[in-house]
Amino acid sequence: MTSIEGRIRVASILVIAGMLVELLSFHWRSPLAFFLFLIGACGITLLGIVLFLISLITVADSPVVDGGRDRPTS
Amino acid sequence: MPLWPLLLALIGLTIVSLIYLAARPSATRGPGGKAFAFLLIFLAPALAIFGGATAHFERSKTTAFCLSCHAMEPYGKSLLVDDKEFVPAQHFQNNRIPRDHACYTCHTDYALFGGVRSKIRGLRHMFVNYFGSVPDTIKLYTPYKNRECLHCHLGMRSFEESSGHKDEETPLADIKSGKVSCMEAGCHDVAHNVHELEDAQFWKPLPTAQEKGE
Repeated sequence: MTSIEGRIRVASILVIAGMLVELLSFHWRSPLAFFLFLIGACGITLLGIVLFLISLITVADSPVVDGGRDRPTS
Repeated sequence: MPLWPLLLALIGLTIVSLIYLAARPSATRGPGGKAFAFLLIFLAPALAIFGGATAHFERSKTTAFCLSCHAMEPYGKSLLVDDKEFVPAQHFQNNRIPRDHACYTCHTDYALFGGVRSKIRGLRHMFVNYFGSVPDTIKLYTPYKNRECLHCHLGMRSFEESSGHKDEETPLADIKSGKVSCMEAGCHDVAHNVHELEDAQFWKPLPTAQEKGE
């Protein structure tokens, strides 16, 4: 696995968590659900999106040490 | 088209696809891989968040949402006062406003309703409700605007031809321009008056067919 793929995995997990919190905020019948959506769902999802965008710009698509798996052969 | 099914489908599809992507990030290799990741990690969540915000704002327009704050309970109670002087109660009980959106219909620029400034105030209200102290008397930020009345009453025959709306003291033009206030000119000045509810009689609506379980 390359380092950008590692970051894509983390970003995916963050966005999944954000989407789950968003679903929870729909289910919760309380004015606080809006805060949960705003701070929880938007915050976590935005973190995932930003991590993904930053990794696209900054991380070179190079292999990382991963027990030798997926290492490109010369 | 209803928002909820589309939004839930979008969120569900995004979650399932992202689980696949998290399990196999190598799927982003190849010519379309990054575009696939961009779609799933940027576009779909951005759309879901936008849809979610819209859904939450729509929910904030419901009477149930407003009355879910403890401080708003007397205001909800005032909608059932059996007294024709109470303007909000008369509107609510006679279906002159939609009962499930009663608050929003008459307060279009209050709390989460209205523009950005109103929404920021609304967030502050929620914060104060849970973490601050709610004032004994809740006041509007600005005097009640005729606009809130006129968006329904303007052009209505019974309103335009009413003797009270075209006498010399209150010419219709002044009402329409806001020069004479509907609520504060001494004509329709009994609104929620929550401090007068102790001895009031209350109307009990008949249960609807849905409530009866038919």
